[in-house]
Amino acid sequence: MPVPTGPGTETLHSHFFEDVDALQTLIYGVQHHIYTVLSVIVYCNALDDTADYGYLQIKTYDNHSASGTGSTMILARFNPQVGETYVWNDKFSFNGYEPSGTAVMSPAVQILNAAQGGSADAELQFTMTSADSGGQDYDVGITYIDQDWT
Amino acid sequence: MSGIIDSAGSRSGIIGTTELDYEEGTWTPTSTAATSTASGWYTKIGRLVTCHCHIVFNDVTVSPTYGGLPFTSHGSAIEPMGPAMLSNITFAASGRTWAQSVVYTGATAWNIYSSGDANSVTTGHTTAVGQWSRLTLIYITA
Repeated sequence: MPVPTGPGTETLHSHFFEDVDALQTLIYGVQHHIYTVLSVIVYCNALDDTADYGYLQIKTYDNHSASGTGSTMILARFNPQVGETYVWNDKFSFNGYEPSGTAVMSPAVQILNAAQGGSADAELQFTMTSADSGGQDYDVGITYIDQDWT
Repeated sequence: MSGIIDSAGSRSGIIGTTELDYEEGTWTPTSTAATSTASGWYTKIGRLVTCHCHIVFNDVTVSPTYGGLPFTSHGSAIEPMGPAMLSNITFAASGRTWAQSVVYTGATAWNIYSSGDANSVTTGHTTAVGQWSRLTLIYITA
């Protein structure tokens, strides 16, 4: 959990997005929250090309780089065809905000990560090969747990 | 479950392509020879199919052929072999001491091959009334 500053709450959320044909943020992180994604469901309505992919990615601080704020890291690339459904069904968590005093991973930075003292949020995003409001089109649903330790 | 996303057995991926399906049931082996008993059982896990069958012949047929597998086999060039036990068998080639089941590629057909001497493995045997065969056929589907 993030560094607690209050009693905290835990709530279950779901968001659904119809006809996604360009980058779509699924979760906007809030400071001192931690998000546990339970599932992401992607139904393919249309493709420009059968080789078009959908991507699940996270925008947050890259602890591999000292200047890695706002980095986009791909978690999954998938290729459902029209009429097929892709399911991400493995749980993972991420912090709502980036750390302050960011640097490459170390024991101290690990603590900073938990404190979420930075100024940039983390975002879970869905995007695609042709994110151009064109032919590639998906319906997307997400369920997650939001733990609030503000 | 962990692994490559979208691979068989992964809990995440394209629905209908990533789960290992499991199925079991019965199948009826067919033969160009007359039979008084022809029964079989199978288990399918993913693309791997294991079949057992029991056949009792009811006539004299030279070089019978067989079929009826519950799923079409993969079309690769490899024809998988399995164990076979036959009573009072008469092989077309002399000197043979071993019998194996063989599943043909891209088909539901199979046969019994003989080996055990210095010559090539070949098919061909002659059935007799009351003669029986018990076989295991293991193969992958297309």
